[in-house]
Amino acid sequence: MNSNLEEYLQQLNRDLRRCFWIGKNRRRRILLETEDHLLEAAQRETENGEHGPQQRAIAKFGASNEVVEAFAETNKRRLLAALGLSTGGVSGITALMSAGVVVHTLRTLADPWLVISVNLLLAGFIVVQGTATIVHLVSGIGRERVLFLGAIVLFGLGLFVTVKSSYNAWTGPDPEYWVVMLGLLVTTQATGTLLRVGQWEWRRNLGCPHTGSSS
Amino acid sequence: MLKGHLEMLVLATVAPQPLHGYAVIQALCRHSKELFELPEGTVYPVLHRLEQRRLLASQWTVAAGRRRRVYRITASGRKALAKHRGEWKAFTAAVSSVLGARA
Repeated sequence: MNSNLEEYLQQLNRDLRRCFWIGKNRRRRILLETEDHLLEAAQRETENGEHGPQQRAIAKFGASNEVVEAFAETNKRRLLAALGLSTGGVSGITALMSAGVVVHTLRTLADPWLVISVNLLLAGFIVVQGTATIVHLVSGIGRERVLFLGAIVLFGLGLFVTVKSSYNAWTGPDPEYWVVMLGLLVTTQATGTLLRVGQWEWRRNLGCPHTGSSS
Repeated sequence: MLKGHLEMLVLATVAPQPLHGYAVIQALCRHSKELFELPEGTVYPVLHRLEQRRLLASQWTVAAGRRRRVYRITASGRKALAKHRGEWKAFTAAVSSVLGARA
């Protein structure tokens, strides 16, 4: 293969690897399709008697970072839509589970109206946050990788604490409702962080980080 | 302006027969009398997106000793294309009517 094409494909591979939203299989497919395209385009340019057929084929294909950005946008929307739906779904289930546990733990501490109010507040907050996350992540999308991944980890941790402590509180003789509350707090805050990341990225009109390459 | 209609144009290009990426771009260029000049690499994300939405399907073939991904339109793709065509006809008719109207 011509060294120009090889260089371009290597650069494209590097840019694809740097992009968080494009997985290994998708990367391999993009590289194969690009290679096939460039070889055929260069061949046509040669047949037409053009000078520098490889360079012309590459120029028409576009800068590698721009191509990666276009792919990133496609994949990011799909992945985050799925993530948003999962987050919202899990939030809803958590809200339902915790509602029962909160009733159980607060029953002995306060009057019924307080119990109902706290329940509605907590469950509503989680459901609203989860739903908002779906809406914003489907229409927006996140680039702040560290914060995004941190929020995912926090969400998982909070969920684990909530579910585990809820189970213990439900089955154990001495419910530790504060642990349930802590888990709920962490889960909702993580969901809120995911929502904020989605909002920021929506405003910024996202893409993959610019790699600085234009080969 | 072209960007907003690229999915419809790609669907319409693939509708008559299965094509690989390069052929899709050449057909787009030819049918538009070379009016549509866009970075060729940006057409592939559109093909992938249409496939993810199940409007296109694709499979690997071998041509000239190279692996090549060939795209074909699905039944859902044909329905979506028919819908787009109807909307486009109504839109262009309305624009023509307004632009051709005498004050």
